[in-house]
Amino acid sequence: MPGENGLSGEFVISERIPQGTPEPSHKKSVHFYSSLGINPDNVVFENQEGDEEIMLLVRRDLITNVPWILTALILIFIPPLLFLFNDLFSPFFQIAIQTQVVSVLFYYLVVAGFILVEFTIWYFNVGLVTNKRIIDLDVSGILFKHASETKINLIEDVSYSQVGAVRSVFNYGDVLVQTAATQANFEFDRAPEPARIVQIIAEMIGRKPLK
Amino acid sequence: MEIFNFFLKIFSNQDALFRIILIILISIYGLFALILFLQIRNLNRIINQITFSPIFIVFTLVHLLATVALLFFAVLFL
Repeated sequence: MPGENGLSGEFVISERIPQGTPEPSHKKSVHFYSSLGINPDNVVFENQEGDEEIMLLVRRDLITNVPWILTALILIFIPPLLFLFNDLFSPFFQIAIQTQVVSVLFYYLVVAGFILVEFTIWYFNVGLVTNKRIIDLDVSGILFKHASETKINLIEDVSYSQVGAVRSVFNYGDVLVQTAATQANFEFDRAPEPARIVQIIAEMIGRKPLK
Repeated sequence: MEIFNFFLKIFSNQDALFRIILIILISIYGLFALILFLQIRNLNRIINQITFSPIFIVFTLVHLLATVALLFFAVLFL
């Protein structure tokens, strides 16, 4: 029934209306090495609702993998180097050639395990921003994982910090998403293009991002 | 006395000692490879990147099978 001013219906005045939300139709494929996916295609997560679209997929910047990749490369080249200096060790170690071969194979399995663990830690340390909520999955070891989530409309503020020369050169930093007082804050640490991530989240919650 | 001789024989033979240590280490590592496979399979359920997740699981399965194969080889042929 129309009121005095001719308006009728239900009005919600406390809820923020998402502005500038990226169109879910422009899906982009993400690779296994992608550290930032905007409207990523072919990515689903546990408990995803039918009408829920992933807007952002954030991992640590790819450059943060350099230390463990270098370590793995060094570890790969250690056995050939030891074999070059085999004559130095042979008087002290009398081990059958068959045992040596199994030892080397085992060593390379351990290196493969190291690479798998390091890649897993990077790959599953992921932040997801959907049109409904924000999810942060932290994996800091093979036996430790922590997942937290909050609704988009509970986000109060979003900011980023970029400290140090390496972070400035490679353009990555920490994105901090602050939620209502009782909720935990979310941090996407060492995220690539933090300014862009902040801009996208700010637009989703209806804030004007700082330029 | 027989037991004493058995241990004396092992410790005087570097290769035998090394083989025993190696088999124990591979067994422990096999357990780690199994945990790694199960954890990665579970994590892929939480975040599933459809094009890559099956490949990732296959990698960890190959890693586990290689460890088991090496353990069998070490036990049977060393």
